[in-house]
Amino acid sequence: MGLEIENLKLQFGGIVALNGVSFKADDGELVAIVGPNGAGKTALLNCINGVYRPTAGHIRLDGRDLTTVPVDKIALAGVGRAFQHGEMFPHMTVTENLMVGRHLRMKSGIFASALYFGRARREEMEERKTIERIIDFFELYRYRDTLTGDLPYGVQKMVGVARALALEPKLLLLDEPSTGLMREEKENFARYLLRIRHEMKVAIIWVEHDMQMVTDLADRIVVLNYGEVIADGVPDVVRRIPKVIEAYLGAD
Amino acid sequence: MARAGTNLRTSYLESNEVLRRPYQKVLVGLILVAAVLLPGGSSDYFLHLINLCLLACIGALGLMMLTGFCGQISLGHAAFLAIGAFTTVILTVHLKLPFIVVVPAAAVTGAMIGFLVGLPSLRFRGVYLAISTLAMHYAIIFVATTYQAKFSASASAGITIPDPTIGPLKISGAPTWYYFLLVLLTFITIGCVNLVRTRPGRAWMAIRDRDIAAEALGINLTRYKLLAFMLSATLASVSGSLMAYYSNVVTVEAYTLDLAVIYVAMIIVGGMGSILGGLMGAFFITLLPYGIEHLFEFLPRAWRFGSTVFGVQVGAVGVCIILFLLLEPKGLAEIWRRTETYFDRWPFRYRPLDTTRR
Repeated sequence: MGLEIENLKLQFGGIVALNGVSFKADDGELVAIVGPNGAGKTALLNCINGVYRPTAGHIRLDGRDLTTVPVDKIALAGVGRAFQHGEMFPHMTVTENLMVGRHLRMKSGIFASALYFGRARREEMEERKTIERIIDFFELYRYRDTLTGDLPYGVQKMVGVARALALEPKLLLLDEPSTGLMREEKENFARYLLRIRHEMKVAIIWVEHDMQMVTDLADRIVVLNYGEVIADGVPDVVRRIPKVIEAYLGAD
Repeated sequence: MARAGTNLRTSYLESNEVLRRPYQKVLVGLILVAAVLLPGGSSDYFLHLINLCLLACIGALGLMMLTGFCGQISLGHAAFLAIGAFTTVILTVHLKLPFIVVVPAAAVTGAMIGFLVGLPSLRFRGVYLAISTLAMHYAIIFVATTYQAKFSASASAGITIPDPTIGPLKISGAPTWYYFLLVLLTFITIGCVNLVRTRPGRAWMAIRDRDIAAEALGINLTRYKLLAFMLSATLASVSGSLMAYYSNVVTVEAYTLDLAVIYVAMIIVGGMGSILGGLMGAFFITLLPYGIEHLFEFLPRAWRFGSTVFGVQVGAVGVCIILFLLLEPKGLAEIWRRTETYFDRWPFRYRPLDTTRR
């Protein structure tokens, strides 16, 4: 099952951002999306995420059509997203940021929470425990009680990925997660990415510019140029296609 | 359970505690004991001032939840107070309903009006939202003015409200009111503190900090923004209703735009995004004019014209807002936090492990 994108079109006035994009991502598959600036990579994520409403085409997750579903309901359907610039809640701690990621898995309403008694309190403790597993996974122990606004950029981006995973998504959208990371942080991130892929049954759409990382890690690469898919396949094949070399990689 | 240090926590329940350090519990206990004993050793005038502060605290907490935690700017708080006051007038003067029914009814009315006033927040942000709440303020005050002109003895006299009774107990006089308000405020404060450390509070703060990310994580913006407006208006309305009973008179002239700005001043001076800040700000701004009046008594008689005192009182609030925004943008709560940290670490200067306090 997984994600299925069919003939997706997105137009802003006369500008065509996406022009008939189609591809699939299976459960547990790591699909990288590459392409030059303005190729429509982030626009594509915004469509899947529900921030933009596509002009035409369909987006299906496990057979369910998500094309016209509002943003918060798309999260409920199982789409988690890590944003390009982290988009942390700067005045909240790392723990609180991750707990917001658990929002959908919790039930306590305003009255139960105000009393902080019985089930609301138990739920809080249980979810706190769940969060601890994610903190453990991303090795964020030292930052638990730090405000995310005070964290270094690289850590913020990792918290962003952790927060999206806290949702227990079926589909994880990563928007240039390694951009702006140091070499060491990138290596750590590659490790997390492989672990997510192996340990959780989640399809990953990964927008990325670092071609070395992409060719090393991705199961499949989808290349976008001017809103169109110009190549789709395993890394070794895709990076030898002349059109891809011309549009993105550059010839010698 | 053994504790290795004041900052080491050994369970998730402890890590979610509000009073994390042992001395904070002692301090809050001492404050409560002092608060209970206060009427024994103070004049009715002083208790009256404290009562005004407690009433302001309820309203300020309402605005703090909306602006400080959910990030929705509102200039309609005076109108919310007026809703509470005029609901009280209608229910006591016309329908002769008892106190125990009127205050909850005012809360419900406040929630309904809060829902309506909150609707524009789904489309507008920041300054635009502030203007739309301002429009609501004038609409509500217009209705109240029309009502008052029709039903009060003379247009400017206002409407009198009798002292409230709960069963055989009559709430009247500063000490009785003081105890009543103290108990009520304690419960409201506990409720607000619980809200901000659990699911709804986190949803509000997420909306305040980054609404797009909040929505992508499945938070229903419509629901939580409207809930924040409803909670805010409910608390303000309860405060307005109690103020009407407390002062025995309701007049629309009291609910000006100035009052809305004074409530904004309370949460700025106290410190945005802090429950403690809301309480401290309400006390500070409420007591400020009385403090200034007191200071004027030390001046030569020729300087003590009523108009001068009044001018300084009004100006001081403005000066306070500017000084706090410039020098201490996180408000009184941050000053308290720093003081606490200093003594907690003494004689060392390193930063504490936990940097948050709400």
